[in-house]
This record gives sequence, structure tokens and C-alpha cells, in this order.
Amino acid sequence: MRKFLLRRILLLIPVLWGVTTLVFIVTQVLPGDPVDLMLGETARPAQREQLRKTLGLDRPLGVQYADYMGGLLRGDLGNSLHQKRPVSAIIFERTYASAELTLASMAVALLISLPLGIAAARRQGTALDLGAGFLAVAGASMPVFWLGPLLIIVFSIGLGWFPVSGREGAFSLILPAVTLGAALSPILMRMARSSLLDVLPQDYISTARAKGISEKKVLWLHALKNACLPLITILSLQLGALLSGAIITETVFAWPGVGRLVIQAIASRDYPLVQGCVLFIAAVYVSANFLADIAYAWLDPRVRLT
Amino acid sequence: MRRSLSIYLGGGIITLLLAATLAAPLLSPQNPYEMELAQGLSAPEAAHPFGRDKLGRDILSRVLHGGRTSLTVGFAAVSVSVLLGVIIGGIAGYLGGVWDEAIMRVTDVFLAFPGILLAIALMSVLAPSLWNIVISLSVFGWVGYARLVRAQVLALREREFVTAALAAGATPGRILTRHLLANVISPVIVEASIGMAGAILAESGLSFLGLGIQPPEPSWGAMLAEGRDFLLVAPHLTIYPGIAIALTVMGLNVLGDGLRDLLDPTQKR
Amino acid sequence: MSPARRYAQVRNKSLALVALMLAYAALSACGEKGATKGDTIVVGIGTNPTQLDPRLSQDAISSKVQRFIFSRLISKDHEGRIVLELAEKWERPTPLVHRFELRRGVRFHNGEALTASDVKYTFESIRDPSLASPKAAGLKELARIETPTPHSVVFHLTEPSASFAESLMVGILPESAREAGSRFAEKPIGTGPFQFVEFAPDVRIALKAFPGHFAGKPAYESLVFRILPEETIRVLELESGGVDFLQNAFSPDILPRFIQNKRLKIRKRLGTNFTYIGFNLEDPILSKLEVRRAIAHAIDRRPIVRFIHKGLVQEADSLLPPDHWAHIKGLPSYAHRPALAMKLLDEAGYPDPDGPGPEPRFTLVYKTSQNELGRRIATVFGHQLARVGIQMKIRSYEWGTFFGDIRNGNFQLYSLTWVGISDPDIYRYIFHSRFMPPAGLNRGRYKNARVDALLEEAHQSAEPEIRARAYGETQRILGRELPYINLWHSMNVAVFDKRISGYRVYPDADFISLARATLSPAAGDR
Repeated sequence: MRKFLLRRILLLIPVLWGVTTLVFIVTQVLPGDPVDLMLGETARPAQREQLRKTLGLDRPLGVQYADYMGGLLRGDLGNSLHQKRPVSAIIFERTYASAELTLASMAVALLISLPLGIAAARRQGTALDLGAGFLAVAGASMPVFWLGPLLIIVFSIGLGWFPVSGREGAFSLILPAVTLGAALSPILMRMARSSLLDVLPQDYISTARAKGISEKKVLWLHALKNACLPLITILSLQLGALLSGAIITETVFAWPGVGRLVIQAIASRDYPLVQGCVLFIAAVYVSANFLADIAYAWLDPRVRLT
Repeated sequence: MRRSLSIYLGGGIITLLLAATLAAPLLSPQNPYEMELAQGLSAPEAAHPFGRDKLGRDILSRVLHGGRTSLTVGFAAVSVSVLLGVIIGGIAGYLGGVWDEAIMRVTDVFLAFPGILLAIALMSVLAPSLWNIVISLSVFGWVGYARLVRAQVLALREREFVTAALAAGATPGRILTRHLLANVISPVIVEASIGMAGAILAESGLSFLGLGIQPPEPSWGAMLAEGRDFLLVAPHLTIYPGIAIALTVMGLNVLGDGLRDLLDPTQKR
Repeated sequence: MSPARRYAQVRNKSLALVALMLAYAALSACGEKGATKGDTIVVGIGTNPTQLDPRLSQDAISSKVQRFIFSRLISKDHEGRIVLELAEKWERPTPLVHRFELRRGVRFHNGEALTASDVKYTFESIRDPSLASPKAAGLKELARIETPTPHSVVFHLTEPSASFAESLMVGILPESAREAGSRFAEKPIGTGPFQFVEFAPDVRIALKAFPGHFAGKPAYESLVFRILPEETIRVLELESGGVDFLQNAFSPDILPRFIQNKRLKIRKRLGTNFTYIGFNLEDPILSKLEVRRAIAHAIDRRPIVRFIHKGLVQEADSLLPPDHWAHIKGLPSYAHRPALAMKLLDEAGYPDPDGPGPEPRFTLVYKTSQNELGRRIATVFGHQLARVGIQMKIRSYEWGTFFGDIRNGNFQLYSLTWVGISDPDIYRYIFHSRFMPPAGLNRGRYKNARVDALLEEAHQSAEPEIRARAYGETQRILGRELPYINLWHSMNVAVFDKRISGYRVYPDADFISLARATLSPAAGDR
């Protein structure tokens, strides 16, 4: 087990290094000058040069890269160019809101997809199976910036069940979570259905049925637990997509997550902030996958710990 | 039954949409570019069954023409992604060892990197155009296919027919193209049909950020973005392109599900 | 682990999860709701202010919010006139000296009294290179600051500058901000009518009335700015009472809906924003005056004003709005005359290869930002130019890229809006040949020796007549030479709850008049 863990942890390093290097390249090739956006257009050339020097932008690229990597190794993400405070503090303010939205949307996706997946698997090949597939796709088939306002108009304005937007109380979380979670439900539903289909014809299920264990129990106890592992994997793999895919959901629902922060940072060419956000998203993704792998290895004896 | 139902239903929707957009010049009641500002936002009527947009252009004609753009973007982005994915995944799976390890780490980097940011960066560097949108979507689109193909190739490499071909003296290139890819292609087709739905949605996301198709060209995503400020006063601007996207995405998903049931040999039934 | 045990675990876990969610719901439901509806005004804004430190921000929304927290030496009233705020007296004994007497008894939110050293500190820190303030450039002509008494401040200039007063309109910080350093913006302290309570980025800024304000405590308890990036949501929030006040943050088509709403009031006023099309004068085609004139005549602004802006903009013939003191009458307005445009293009050496056929005379690229309204208007221009045989391709870019291209002269045509035009000295930054980027705003690289001389003269003079004459002639030359096509000045439109009264729309779309507004209790309110 220790060897397995060590190997997995060592594998994280090249991935995180790749992400940081890629984001460094992205910020270098993006047109637009942060100094222009910071000082305004009427600044004198001397003032510009001064700021360039202060920010270290006048140094060769290699030196800037080394400095940036060095900072990361010390756990220093630098300061935001516009807000003039540590990037880590700015991101930290958002993590709670982002985590809330991400977890809630996963919960919503599971709530939609599991029942549909079970129904589809049990009535495999019938119109119900097809209908369940259709339902799972329905929410995911609409662009978020259309689905979001639609839900608001129906449930907040029409029925008055939820606040229109903002982040105040648990009720304000529901509509954004549904909007974002809907996108995940088809893939989860498919996974639940196919893992159940794999398991249901197997001998031990028939034995359990023959023993007179109720159908409900068979399904939940024996079948569904086998479907759990692939679900965990899919969820962790979708986490990256969820975190960055939340940009539009956050914009529509005025939710203060990391997604909107990235967009603002790019627009204002606040490179330390862009780099910090990307690194944050990547780190969350990578660690979730790491945990999923460990959970997998732990729960499934068939996985060899090498 | 489900299998055939799904394929007929999904395939039917997609065929219909394809036919309608291909025949857009014939079916469009109006010129999709012709404006009449005074008639902006006017509601559906006989001559304009879907109403008109803010610039007084016929929405039905723009939905039909826009479908060409949206479907082209979806199809092209998925084709490029599949091509890249098959090549890279095939190499990783076939060569194995250090190559496999290195390529898989690269896919990890792309999976961990926020895709939309990469797309924004690319759209900022490249001039926004249809083909650059395709490039932006493919830059991270290939990853899923590469992983899929690699897993398939790894599994197949050990199978009898490959060992047999090797024993018979077939060259590695021949084995890769002839035997392995032939077996890999069906799960890829399934993924691609669903991936195309994703690409169409992603194009609308770029349009939301103002980085999609350039005016005056229509695309479903661009039409939704154009109509989003009028959601409350003229919902017809977004309802029709929205329905077109939803239908396409559903059709492709259902088709993909049907194909999966049909083609996936591991699924026992 | 037996299946049964694992099932039990799973079930326990899900129960725990449900319990956790319920607890969370209960907790958040009884969360703070601070002030009651009766004494709070909620303003909806579209973008997140980047900074609450007035020395460091340059975005419009930051400075609008800052005005409630920080007062300035001088500022502008609802007519755009310069008025005294923290200053009691303002003298200019020579063109190189500005002398201010401070108002007595002004206190900061932390109780400290305002003195001349606070003013001195504010402006000196702006000039400190280590702060990298975007406002430093405006203080170029400042030589030194003296504080002869605790209540008088004297600014000495190196050369006369007509626009220096403009640069003095910065919120005054307490000198104690020096110790707070970069943390000052986390809990900003000023002398404004409202004091800082909370800034939750991308959510809200909450302020509460400052009882010790020199002009008296505001008439209601708290002022909240909610950040709502999506227009539809802002409108829905206003209609459902989640927001009480919006200004300019909606498209004109929604206005009829507000007019019908009995709960809402609407106020309009011509603003100081100016929208234009900029030419790259170093482009081989666009450097020809006939081509620029042809484009100006080919474009028809009237249907755009009427149907897209719904009359909420006014056609412009100059950068300055018609009621501005330096604006002159009788400038060319370039009416829509497609036939003349075609004739001018023929004369410029660009005949239409196939008459009304699809072949264009030439192709131009028009750059715009990702803003949907900008793209829409560009589409109309493209359509209008096609009628005279010019093909115009629209390229909308992400904002930073677009702005970078404009700065670097990497464009043919572009459109942008100047926000808050007030002192005509801006002409110098935009059209003086010395101010080509990166030194200034002359992005189209306009060069005219006469205009340079006129702008220099006006800048150095304090005589209103001399300045007016110089700017008048400048406007005439620019109207003839067309480095810009003047499009329109926009109206500021405020829509708000009927309970708010006494609000005045400012030309620069400032919200500051809310500080003096009153709020009548709503029916059924506690």
C-alpha cells in the first residue's frame, strides 16, 4: 500500500508541473499588456518602465519562469496586479462558494441519474429504458446560459420558491446546482445503467433472488454497490470540467466562485491571479482523482496495489 | 428493442436536422442576412413563423442557416479530436512503456487544465473564425479519445488475433492500422456521437463569452447569445435556436446510446 | 467487508449527508439580514469593483462606489460643474498655484479629524512609484505640496495645466493609511457619507450611514451594491424587489416594461459618454480623406439611434456633448448620402469592379470587443457599407486582446466609447501628435501641426475665451479631417423603486446623489 501511495504521489508532480508550465505559456502568448491595463493609457513611458521593473516583467522569460516556479515551490502564488493583495487570499475567499456549488451539483446529478439508471437497467430494452435515457439528457441538452434564466423565470419569479440570484441561504444554492448538475447526469446515468446491467445477470444475484431476498434489497445491496466504484471515478474525472464549467452558471446566478474570478483575471491580464486560479483548479482535480484512485484500490480487492 | 428504438429515434432526429440545414437555402423563407431594423424583435407571424431578431432578420431562416455552422463546428471539432485521439492513444497503447507513461501524463495535464481557459486563450491569439473555433475545441477535445483508444489497444494487444498476426510476420504498422484500429473504432464512434453534442454546446459557451462565430454569420450558439438580453421581452429570439440545440444534443446522445448497445461487445444481454 | 455491512455504511453516510444539508439550510436561513427593507437601498451593478482604494482603481464602477466612502477636495455636481467638497475655499493666485482652505470639523470614519497633512499624504502617495497608481500620470505637472496651516493646502505646478483640477478629484485618505499599507483597501476609511461594512467580492459591497458626516447623516441606514453580471437577472431582481435601483445596466428594449411597472420610477439625462468609430490613419486606404468621408456618408446613424438605442442616445457631431461650454455650433454632421459616398470612393481611386454585384471595392476589418451590443451595431454598419461597395469584416475579440490591438495600432476600424468626457483637455491626449501610444491615446496616429499648436495653447491657458476659441477651431478641423466618425452621446437612465426620492441623474452616471436621497417606508414595512 505504501509503495502504491508513493507512486501515485510521485505521478502528481509531472502533472502539476505540466499545468503550471502550460499556464505560464498561455499568459505569455496572450496579447495585451498588463502594464497598460494597470496604469491606464496616459501614463508616461518612464512610469511604465518603472512598473515593468517593479513587476519583474523586464527580465528574460527564462528568469521569470524560474522565479515563478521558485515562488510556487515556496507556496507563494504572488500578488494580484490589480487588487494588490496575495493571490492565495483572493482564491481562498472563493473556495467555499465554489465547493458548495460543485458538491451540490454532484449531488443533484446523482439524484437525477441514479433513479433513472436503475429504472433503465431493470426495464432494459423497453420504452421506459429509452425514456429514462431521454430524461437524463434533457437537462444537459440546453446551454447553461439559457437553462439558468429559464429555471429562474419558472421557479423564482413564477413560483417564488427560490431567490432569483446571489448566495444567501441554502435555497439560493438549489437552482445553480440543478443547472450545473444537469450537465453531468447523462454520463452518470449511463454509467449506473451499464454497471447494473453487468452485474444483474451474474450468478450471485440470481442466488440472492433464489434465496428469496426481496428485489429491492438485491438491487440496493448487491447490485448498486458494484456500480459505486465506476461512479466515483467518473465523478472525480468530471470535477475539472465542473469547476471550470461553472463559469457561466456563476455568471448567471451571480455566484462568487472561482470561475468568474478566472474570467475577470484574464480580462484584466492579471497574470499571477490567472496562474493561481488555474493551479488551484488543477490541484483540486488532481487530488480528487488521487483520492478516487485510493478509494478504488481500497474498496476493490481486484485492484493490485503496485 | 431499445437498441433499435434509440438508433431510429436518435438517427431520425439527426437526419432530419441535417437534411433541414443542408437544404437551408431552399427551405428558408427569407434571406437570413436581410435586416429591417424597424421590425426588430417582432413576434412570430405568417411570413416569419419564428419571428424576427433585434435587427429584424428572419429567425427561421437564421436557425436553418445557423445549423450549418453549428453542425459543421461540432462535426469538424469531433473529427479533428478523434483523429488526434486515435493517433496519440494508439501510439501510447501500442508502444507502451515510457511512451505510454509520458503520453498519459500529458493527457492528465490537459484534463486538469480548465478547458475553457485554453479556448479563450486560443481565441484571443488566433483571429476568431469558424476554423479557429474548431481548433480551440479540439485542443482539449482529443484527450478523451486518446485515453479510450489506449485502453482498448492495451486490452486488444494481448488477444490471440494480434499475437497470431505478429507470428505470421505482419509489420507493426499493419497490425496497428489493420487489426487494432478496426477493433477500436466502434467505441470511438459511440463516444464521438456524444462528443459532437458536447462540441455544439461548447460553441455556444464560446458565443456566450463573445468569442464564437463572427457576425453577421448565424450559429445556434451565437443566436442564443444575441437573444439573451431580450429573454424577457422577446423570448422567441432564444427559444428556437435553444430548441434546435437541445434537439441535436438529445438526438446525438440517444443515437450514441443506441450505438453503444449495438456495438459494445462487452455488454452482455 | 460483507455486502450488508457496506450497505449499512452507505445508508448511514447518506443519512449523515442529508442531516448535514438540513443543518446547513437551517443555519443559513437564520443568517444575517441586518437592516430591514425600510432603511436600505440596494443598487444593482454589473461588474465587480476592482479596488476600494481610490488611488489604485481606474474602472468606472470602483470610483462610483468609492465616492460614497471618500470625499474629495472638489468634485462635480449634477450639472457637471466643479463644486467644493472638502475644500471651503479654492484660489489660484498664479497659474502655477492652487490654494485650498479645508472645511473645518470634518471627521474620518475612525473619528480622526481631517487635516492638510491627510490631503498632502494622499497626493504624495499617488506619486510614489512603488504604489504604481494609474492616477500618477494626472499629476505630472505637480511640483510640490505645502501645508502652511493644518487647514490649508497649496499645490505648486511646474507648468500651467488647465486639466489639473480634474486630477485633484480623488478621494482623500487619512494619513494613517500609510501604516495600513496594502491592507488599507480591506477596510477603507474616508470622510464620505457612508462607511465601509463589508466587501464580498462578486457578491456585494455593504455600506452604512456615517453619523459624523460633515453634511449630516444620510436619511437612511444602509446602502448595498449587489454585483449581478447578467442583464436578465438584474432586471428580474429589480422587478422582484431584490434590487431597488439600476442605472444604465439594461438594454433600451426593456424600458417599456419598466414604464408599465407601477412600483418603479424612471429618470433620464444626457450623459458624457461618447461613442465613435476610429480610423487607422496609417492604413493605405484609410489615410485618404475621401475614403473616410465616404464611410461617414455611407453610415446611417438614424435607424440605429431610433431602433437599437430606442432614442436613448443623441447623434454626436463632436466629442463634446452639445451643452458643453467648449462645444461649437455648425460642425459638419455627415448625413446619410450613399450616392455621394460612392462618388467619393470612385474619386479616391476605388471604383466598384462590378457595380451592384458582389465584388467589393475593398475590404476593411472592423474590430470590436466581445460586447453583444457592439457586435450588433457593427453588423448594421457592415450592412450599410456593403451598399456602397465596401466589404467590412467584423472581428470581435476578448477585451484584453482587443484593447492591446488598438493600443498597438493593429487595426483598420474600431469602435469604442469615451466615458465621462468633461475637461476638453482630453483632446490633447487623443489628437496631439505627441500622444501616440504608448505615450497617450492618439491610437489612430493623427498628425496635424495646427491642431498640436491649438491644443498646446489651450492646455497652458487659464483664460476661458482663449481655451474656447482653441477648442472651437480644433473641433472644426477634426470635423473636416475625420480621424473619428462621431456616433453618439448616450443618455443616463436610472430606474428605481418609487420609495426613493430626491435622486438626480448625473451626466457622468455617478450614483452619488443617492447619498442625499430619501427613502419613504414601504406599505407593510416594519
